[in-house]
Amino acid sequence: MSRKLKASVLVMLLLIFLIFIGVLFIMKSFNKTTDKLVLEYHEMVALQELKMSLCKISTAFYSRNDSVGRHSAADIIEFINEAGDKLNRCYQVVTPYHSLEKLSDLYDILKKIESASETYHLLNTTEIAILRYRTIGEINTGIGIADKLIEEIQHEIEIHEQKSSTAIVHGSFTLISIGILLISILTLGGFLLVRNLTKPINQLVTATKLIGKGNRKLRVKVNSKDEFELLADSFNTMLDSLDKTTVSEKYLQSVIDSLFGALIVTDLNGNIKTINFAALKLFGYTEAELVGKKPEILFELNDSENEVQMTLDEKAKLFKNKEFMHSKNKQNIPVLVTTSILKTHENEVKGLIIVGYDLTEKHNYEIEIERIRKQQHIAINEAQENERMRIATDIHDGLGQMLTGVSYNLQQVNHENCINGLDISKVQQQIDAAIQEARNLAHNLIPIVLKDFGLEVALKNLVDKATLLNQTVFSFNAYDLNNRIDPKLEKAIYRICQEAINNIIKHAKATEASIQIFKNNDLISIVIDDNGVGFEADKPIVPGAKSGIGLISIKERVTSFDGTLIIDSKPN
Amino acid sequence: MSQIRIVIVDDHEIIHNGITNILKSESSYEIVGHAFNGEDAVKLATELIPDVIFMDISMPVLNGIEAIKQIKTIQNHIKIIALTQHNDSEYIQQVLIAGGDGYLLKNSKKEEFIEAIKTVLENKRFLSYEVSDLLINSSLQTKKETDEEKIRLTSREIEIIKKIADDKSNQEIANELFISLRTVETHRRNLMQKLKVNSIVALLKYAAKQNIIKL
Repeated sequence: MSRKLKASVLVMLLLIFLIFIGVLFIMKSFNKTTDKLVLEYHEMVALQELKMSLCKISTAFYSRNDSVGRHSAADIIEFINEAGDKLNRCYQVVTPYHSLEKLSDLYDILKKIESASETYHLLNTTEIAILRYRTIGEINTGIGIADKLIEEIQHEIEIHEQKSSTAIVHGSFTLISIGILLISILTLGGFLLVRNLTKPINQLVTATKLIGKGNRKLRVKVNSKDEFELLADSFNTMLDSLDKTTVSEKYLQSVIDSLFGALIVTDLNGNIKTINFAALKLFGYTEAELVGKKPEILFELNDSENEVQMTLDEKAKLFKNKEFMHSKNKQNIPVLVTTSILKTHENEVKGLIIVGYDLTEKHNYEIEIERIRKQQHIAINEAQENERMRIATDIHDGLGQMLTGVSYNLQQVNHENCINGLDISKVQQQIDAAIQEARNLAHNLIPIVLKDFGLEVALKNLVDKATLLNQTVFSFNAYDLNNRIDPKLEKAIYRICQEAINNIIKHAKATEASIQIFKNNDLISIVIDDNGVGFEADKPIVPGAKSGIGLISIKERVTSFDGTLIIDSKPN
Repeated sequence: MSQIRIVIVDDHEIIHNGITNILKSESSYEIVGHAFNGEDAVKLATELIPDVIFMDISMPVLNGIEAIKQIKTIQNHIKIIALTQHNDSEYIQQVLIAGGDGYLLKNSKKEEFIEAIKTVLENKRFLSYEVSDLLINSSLQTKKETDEEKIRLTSREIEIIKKIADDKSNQEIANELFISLRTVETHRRNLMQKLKVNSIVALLKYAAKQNIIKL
């Protein structure tokens, strides 16, 4: 810009200089004219004075005759000398423009007069009168010449005056024109300058307005090779970076809106500031309904519950533990909630970020899986029981009977044929033992008593046998177990008690244990107590660990019938 | 002496062979029929009218106990000895209730078989030694239990009654006994069912009577 300005200023200065020169020129020409005029006036004055002197001489000559006011000859000579001076003056002053020979005529005349006056006292009256007459005539001629010169000078003066006035007019005209021209040029120049200055500014203003309206692609072009171009370039650069941030802002917004999870961001006061599309869809609200409210309404927490103001950290912890969130139409949605504190890069806390993942599908899957698992479990147990039944039956029917058969035959041998050296009775005993063992085996596998006589009887037998075979005294009581219940359930309960009794025998080192069955409408409670050493009930059951399998199988059986297993035990 | 006519009822061939072999040596015993299920047994019994029937219990179609019942209603004089592998007192009782005259375990010795037949023909009941033992133990156990008039409370249950008497809330009881709240609730419910009372007051009255708590 300075360049332009400099150029403009230089141009203006040049113009002014030129004008100045012009004015000087005009003034000079004025001066010329006035000088001329002055000269002419000088001439005029000189001639007038000459004329005056001549007139004086004339007068003196006239008055010589009269006694009144008479001039002496000295006076006349004085006048003549004066005239001579004046004439000299004229010679000095009068320019060659005029008829200078006239001056020499005047000189002649003056000489004549001089000579006349010299001879004046020599003459008589008549001669004097004639001389006087002649002299006066010469003087008049001289005056006439002077007049003529004066006329000429006047003429010249007139011409010069005319010239001068013309010059004045012309000069004024010129000055005015120049003035107007100058003003116009200056105005134009100034105008152009301002326009040049403001053009890029206007461009920027217009561009800014358009960009403000949303046209982000606009750029400003300025080729003035000055600071304005720099400004325009900076402006463009700023727009580029604005574009970038807008793109990244749009990018970020689309990321937020495409997020699968529900995103809620609150400000420092815990009011919702940002909420993404997924969240609005999940909870069934519009953006206007939630922005500015507290996220507590999504967690079904009333403000009145938490009169004490919680810090963001406390709120973060509170929300993180929630397993359900509340939709607009009062539905509970199972969710996984994560929270984090929103901080700037300078570690300034800005708010709270809550992200919730809709676990409904997972939840439903889990429920379905659990259902299928229970079914499978029941089926497996059923299969297991059938298998055992099969084996038990095989043992009972096959093995047991065979052994009995052998026993019978052996008895025959005992009585009829003697086999040398063989102690048949020992073999008999062994066979009996084998038969008993087979019986026990079959019995442990599947208590036929359970099938034939029901749970109460079967458990009674189980408990009695356990007491018989071990150090622990087992007692069994059933309350209101009058009717037969679902055979699958009977088997399950039997197995549970079997497992529990085994555990007590193996690990508890108890002296007393009791098994009680309570039937209360549709609820069956199995209460198993022992006064043994106890175990760590809270430890997670490790699958595969020997001690674990029994408990797992009890738990599995309980849950497969939608029951609850409570284990209260502590070491020692 | 007339032959004693015996029918064997069992679903296993081998038993039939075995018993036949055992009794072969006894000339007075004649095995006149074989049945392999309860239904056939009843038919055979009605047809042949034997003196003694050896009846297996676990059989298809109709089990032994049912068969005993049915035969006894038709032909009361036929002696039926249950012959089975089951050594549970329940079965023994059931057989006797059904009208059976004897109970013999399958792996009994020849002597026991013969004695069983002799005893039932004398209109007495026969139980093998092993079976008698079982029955005796069982009835002793029952007697022991009926003798004990008071209902046995487990130590845990006694603890809970004491806490209830101290006017502790369920949660307090749970905390103090290191058990879960649900366990406490279940115990309370079961206690009332066990002692056949409808209110805590009655429960405590019982407890006081038994000197578990002091009022």
